[in-house]
Amino acid sequence: MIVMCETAVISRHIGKIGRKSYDRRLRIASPNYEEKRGELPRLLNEVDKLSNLLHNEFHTITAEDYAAFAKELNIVINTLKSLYQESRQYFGLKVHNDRMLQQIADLEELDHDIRVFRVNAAKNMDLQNTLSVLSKIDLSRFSQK
Amino acid sequence: MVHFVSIASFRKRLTNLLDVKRGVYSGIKVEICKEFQGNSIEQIRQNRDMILINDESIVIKLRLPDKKQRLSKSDGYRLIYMVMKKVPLVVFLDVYPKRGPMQQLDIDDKEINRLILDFITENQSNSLVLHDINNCLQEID
Repeated sequence: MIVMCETAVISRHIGKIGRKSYDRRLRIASPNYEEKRGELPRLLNEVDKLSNLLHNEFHTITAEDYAAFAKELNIVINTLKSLYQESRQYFGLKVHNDRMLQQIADLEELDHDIRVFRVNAAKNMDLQNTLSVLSKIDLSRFSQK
Repeated sequence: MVHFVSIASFRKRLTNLLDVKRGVYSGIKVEICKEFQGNSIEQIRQNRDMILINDESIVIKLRLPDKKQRLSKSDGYRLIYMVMKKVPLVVFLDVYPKRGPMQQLDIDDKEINRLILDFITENQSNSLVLHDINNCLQEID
């Protein structure tokens, strides 16, 4: 059995969503487009899985891990944004489109937090100095029961 | 016993949110209290929403729902708090909504740094305010 590291799992998920959303974006732009029942909810379920995965793995993601999937993640976010713009013309898909918009915001927030707090915070000398000062302050009055 | 304190900018933010017309954010205190009531300090320290961890403290960006507006955790509020590792202390640093007229999309490391510095200053000047988590964040003298 091959055990994949989480970065590979994240990359694989991103790739899968990227292919599906790009394919859908191409087809939905066609004047002969016909909605395949259940296709969009299945795609959105995959996006939810990716968000959960990024959320669960947040503390184990290193700068190297992020470098491995950051570009792919940004491409997927942009593809989903374009897909949303095409998809919002179909009023019958409103519930799914609203969900997609929320998922895009979730992915953008996760991407931001990984970049800022997992990758850049250790290099932010002001923040590191503040944490160092924090470790020396007297909080003994709060130790009382 | 877990102590809950806030810095001045948190309280100002809370007041501003509660002042928004039509009570859009009027459920915020209830949502905050619900997350902490009955929890031990160990339970509060264990949270998957941690964004910064060091030897002394953990900064958590907690996703809160807004049940009053039927918004899920991802669409509701973000509560930024710090929980100390050596004393049973929770410090409320910031809170913002993800939707509506006072919407904020994210918070950066500079802002977190400023909030922690505020805490350090206010701890030194004894101006932190204690809150009753079982009484809608009522301030304790």
